[in-house]
Amino acid sequence: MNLSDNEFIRYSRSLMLGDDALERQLRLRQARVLVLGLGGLGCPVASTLVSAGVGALTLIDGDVVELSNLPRQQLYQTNDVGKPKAEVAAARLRQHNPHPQLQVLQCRLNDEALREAAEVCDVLVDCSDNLPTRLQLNRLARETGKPLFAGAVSGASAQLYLLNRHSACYQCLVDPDWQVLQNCRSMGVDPALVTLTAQQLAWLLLQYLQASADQIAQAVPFGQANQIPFGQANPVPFGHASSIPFGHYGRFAASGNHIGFHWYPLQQDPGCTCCGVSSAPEGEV
Amino acid sequence: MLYINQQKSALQASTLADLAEQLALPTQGVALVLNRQLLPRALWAQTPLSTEQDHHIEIFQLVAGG
Ligand SMILES: [Zn+2]
Repeated sequence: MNLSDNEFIRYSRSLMLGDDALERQLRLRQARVLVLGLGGLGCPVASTLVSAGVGALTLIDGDVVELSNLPRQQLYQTNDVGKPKAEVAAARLRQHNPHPQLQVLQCRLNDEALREAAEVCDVLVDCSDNLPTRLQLNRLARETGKPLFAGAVSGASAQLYLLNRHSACYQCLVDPDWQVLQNCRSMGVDPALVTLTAQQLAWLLLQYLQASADQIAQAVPFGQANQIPFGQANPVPFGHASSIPFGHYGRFAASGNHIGFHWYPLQQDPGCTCCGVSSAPEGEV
Repeated sequence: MLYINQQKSALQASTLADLAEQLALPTQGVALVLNRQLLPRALWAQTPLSTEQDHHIEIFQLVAGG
């Protein structure tokens, strides 16, 4: 298994990033990612993954392009208004990079097709725009054991959450009985903030997908890595997964001399009906 | 001392649920961080706020758009 000459040239700048850059690029080419939602978050996430050389992407979005999407959803052109987002996005992404395998999936949330797609993916990415979809994908991630990378943006608020089968889940935090959370339709959205959030998510995804199983297993838990003293070389190699904040919820904020995401460990609700003790099948407690 | 979103607060609350009630927080869609830990609402009632130490609390609205 190796890169073609064409791929070597295309990815040459990524291949300069450390001694294991080729292995990282090959791991990325092996990866399959499911992206649910191709709006303000999904467009940049899919673009970055495809241009960086992810192996396969499953794209899901049942909406059509609307004029009011265009200020932040840069995969769509003005004359795409009215066309199905997933089809347009896939066509545009193929033009940009013909190597990744792109699959458009038309499905409802409770379809078996979605479960089957999730089962063959390495990670699930939630770029959706509503609470019921988020809860459904959270449950699917929990049931399939797949890591969940999610972004959420409305108004001037931007949030991220990264969860896996060892962590708390989204339903620990959000009650399914809540009516709705704020979304872009009700609150509007800052176009640059949604793109920034998507790229933070894409960067974390690439870090994760390019790391080896050993690097992930040996990673220093997020928040425990020490600051590197000035003048010392960074002991953490590229691809080291110490920076993947699984089990954390990130919130964009500007305070002091820091502008960016502040990450908080999410405590599990032992009574959570999705991941808590009460949700475990008989004999698995 | 209690700090809420980096402001000193004179409120005195026995638990997080008590604090949420005093602040009249909405019953839906709010996240609460206590000393850098994000605590599910289900745990608020059983999370005491001892007066012996400082507590740093952040409150923010959860959003779901994309
Ligand atoms: Zn849970």
